[in-house]
Amino acid sequence: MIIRRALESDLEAIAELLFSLVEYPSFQKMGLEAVLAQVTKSFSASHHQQLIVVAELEGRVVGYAVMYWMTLLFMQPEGYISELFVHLDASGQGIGTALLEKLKLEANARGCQRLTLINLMDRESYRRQFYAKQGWKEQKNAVRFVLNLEERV
Amino acid sequence: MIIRPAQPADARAIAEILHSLEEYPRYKKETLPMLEQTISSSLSTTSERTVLVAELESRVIGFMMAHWFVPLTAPLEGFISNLFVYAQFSNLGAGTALLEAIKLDAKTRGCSRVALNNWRDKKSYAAGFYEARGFGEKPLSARFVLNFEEHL
Repeated sequence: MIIRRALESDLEAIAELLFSLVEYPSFQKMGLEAVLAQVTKSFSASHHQQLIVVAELEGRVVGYAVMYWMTLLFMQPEGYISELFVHLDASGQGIGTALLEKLKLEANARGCQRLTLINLMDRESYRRQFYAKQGWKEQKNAVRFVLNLEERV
Repeated sequence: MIIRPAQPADARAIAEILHSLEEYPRYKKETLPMLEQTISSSLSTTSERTVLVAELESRVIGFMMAHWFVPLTAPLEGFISNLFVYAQFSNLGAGTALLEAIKLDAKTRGCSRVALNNWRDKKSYAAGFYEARGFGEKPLSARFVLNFEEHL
């Protein structure tokens, strides 16, 4: 398994991975072409405080993760993982863990003291406590709020 | 009330607000010069973040910091990491005005949504502050943190 920075040539594989996720029917509703268009647009718009990594298994991209890091007021910078997806037919091989390990090192190299992420409680990853088993602490006191500015999938 | 981008010269006023926050004792523990010096370098607005202050009669009474990033699966997103108002100037609408300004900024940047974390034990949560201003609570969202001191 190779973990490396994403290239433009990986975007098709990433779009196909998203399209295949049974827990995210919104991507199937969008259609593969529209998913690829969004991924391509986002890839070119991502800035220098973001990092996209992919996991490659036998020449095939089977997972990816996105992290960005922010300078906080009166605190060490913090990394936030906005996405981490692994292809279903490649699960159980430590790919998610390897992607997280890579992001940990990259965040640490940028002076971050911690990483955060949002996991949804109705996901398989939450049910099997994927993050808790790797030492992540769930902040039960935290409440997430979102303001939607446009219709989105 | 005026909402404007923060300047390095606002560091003292922002430090005073932080120092006065009853709900955040970690700021109270610091000295004002220490707070001022540390935050003065992070007050500029860039393509990755927006830092705003609310000013009333030439006095800075509120502060907000938001960060911008692009998920692969969606257009630009915003995250508000700080929103503070001086307790003695609460109920004057400074928090609301700061949120309105960030909404406008977000729309200008082509942002699809803005998120933030609140805490169950804070007054703003008990008061339903964000809900009243268009934010929706996400009851299925679980926030996880990994501290490097323990894990690297």
